[in-house]
Amino acid sequence: MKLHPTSLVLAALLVGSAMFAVCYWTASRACIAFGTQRPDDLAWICHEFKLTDVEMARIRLLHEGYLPKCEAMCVRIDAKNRELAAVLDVATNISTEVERKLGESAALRAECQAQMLRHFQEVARTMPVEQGARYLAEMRHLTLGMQGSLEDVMTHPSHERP
Amino acid sequence: MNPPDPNSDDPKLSALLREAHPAPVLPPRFEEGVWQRLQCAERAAKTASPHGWLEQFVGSLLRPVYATAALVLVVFAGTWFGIRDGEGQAHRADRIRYIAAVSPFHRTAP
Repeated sequence: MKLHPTSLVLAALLVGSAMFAVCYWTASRACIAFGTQRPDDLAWICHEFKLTDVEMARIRLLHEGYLPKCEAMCVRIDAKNRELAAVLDVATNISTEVERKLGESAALRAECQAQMLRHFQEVARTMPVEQGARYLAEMRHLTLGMQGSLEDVMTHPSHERP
Repeated sequence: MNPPDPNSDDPKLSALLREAHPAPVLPPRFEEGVWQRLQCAERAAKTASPHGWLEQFVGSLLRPVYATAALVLVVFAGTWFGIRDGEGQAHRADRIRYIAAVSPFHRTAP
């Protein structure tokens, strides 16, 4: 039986596409699996900013020193969120109690942001100047962007954003 | 009128026929030229047909050398793009892990 040339081309394209898809999927999964085998919080920093072992050792020390403070802040924020939710659950209007809790929440947020920025500045100082500036810019955006994202949504509603 | 019998064994008749139709002198490489013209005509007929060029293309593509090269290229390209994508995804996952580690706001939802 002689196949039509168009059928042969289509069959070749189909086989080629299937081979490509299998190789793509397998390689991609293998890479992700390999990446998740190293559960290190600092893997991203090391890779992104191409740091030396010495720089990484210093950053790891700073990171481990910062973690307990971060945990404590998490507990305080969680507690404050629960307090605020409890007050809001029973409030029918914005009472002075609600305003006070909102103020406390904002103050805690500011305290947390200041602590984060202090840590990021310390980490940035252990990096080469250029890398440190890039790291700090990204982390500053992360720290301050949490408010910015809300303001961005309010200024540009989702249906207006590209 | 009946045609002359080619199997006639009359020597006189044969001699007469040879004299009447002398064998022409062929130009040099005549036979080769004939075959070349035949092949050219075959190629022209194939190209003129609606699927001629496609048949030629598929025919050349399905040669073992080209088919193997194409297969190797597809496997290589698929693996390369897969590795790139996997590395990108792993990198994004590492970034999220770091942010979750250092930002209390990304751990506690209000």
